[in-house]
Amino acid sequence: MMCEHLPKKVEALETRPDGLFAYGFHNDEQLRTHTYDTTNCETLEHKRINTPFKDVEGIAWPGSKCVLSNTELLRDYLESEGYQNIVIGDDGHISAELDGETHLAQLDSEVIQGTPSGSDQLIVTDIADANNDGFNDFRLTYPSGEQQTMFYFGSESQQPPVREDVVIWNLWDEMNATLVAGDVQTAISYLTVSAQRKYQPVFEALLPHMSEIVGSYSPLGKVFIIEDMAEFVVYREIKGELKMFFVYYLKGEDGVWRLSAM
Amino acid sequence: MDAQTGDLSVIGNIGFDKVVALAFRPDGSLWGWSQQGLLEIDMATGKGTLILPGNYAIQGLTWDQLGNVLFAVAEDTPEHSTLWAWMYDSDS
Repeated sequence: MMCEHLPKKVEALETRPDGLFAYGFHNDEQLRTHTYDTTNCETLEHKRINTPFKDVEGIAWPGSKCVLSNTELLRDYLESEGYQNIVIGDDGHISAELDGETHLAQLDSEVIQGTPSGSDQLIVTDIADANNDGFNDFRLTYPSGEQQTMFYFGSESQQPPVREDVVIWNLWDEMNATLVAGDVQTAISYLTVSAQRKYQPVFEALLPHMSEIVGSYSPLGKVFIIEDMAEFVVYREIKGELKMFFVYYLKGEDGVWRLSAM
Repeated sequence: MDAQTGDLSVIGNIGFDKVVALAFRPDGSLWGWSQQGLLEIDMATGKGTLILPGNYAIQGLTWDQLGNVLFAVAEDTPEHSTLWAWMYDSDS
């Protein structure tokens, strides 16, 4: 026996990287871990973890030397450069704030294998503009030797304005895709409130034929966009005759375009 | 358990009763305490091998950083738990 005065019914035990123990005990009403020194057989500190869970049954402490993923290495690098609110999406899209400006970038989907660098740090090298967008880009070299290009797009204030017609084309395509998928509830969210009342029963009635109907649409053509109102046109061939349908969008106070009539 | 998804999958029958504690030795081997005593557990098959027979009320296990000492905490008195240590001997 080594020590005999641990609390009653300790049932979770783990060695920390510093050699001390972390333990928890049965029926503890809070989620707490306790640090224990086996040299003197004494508990050094108690730490409470804020969570609705209790009664620690087991503790697993990560090893002292973690292997960071490429994303974690990039996040650490950006933090060390002073960036905040860093978001690195699964699709490789990056946004991060520096001095009140949000900067945007995209990781190349291609990762080139290489020889391990011998360092445990990410190496970031300036390279010329690789995607011809007017901004120089970066080459990332990970400790594994893998290399990846990070395309820098500049700050948000440097982005070209999004064309309103492109926004509406995307909304039209998304709405039709949800209709083809049979999701009327999502589809009507693309409509103004009054249009929802009018078209929801129509969508529901036509739902079995929606794939055929949407497939017969011509591309949505722009007629005009004036401030918060837009008119588009779509053509359909019905019984051998080409019919023209106007589609109207209104921009709400929230800045979102919604279909108001068609 | 898949650390990314939390999905569980069965590896195999340990072959001993009431395994109440698990601990990895720094060499990557997996150890546990059962009603029959200390086990080394094959991670490929799940099968346990009894290394140290004993009927103690062990609740938790952990190895020291070098993998030389296995510590076990036992609920063997009414008022408090006790800490036991077992020296690993690769020859035994």
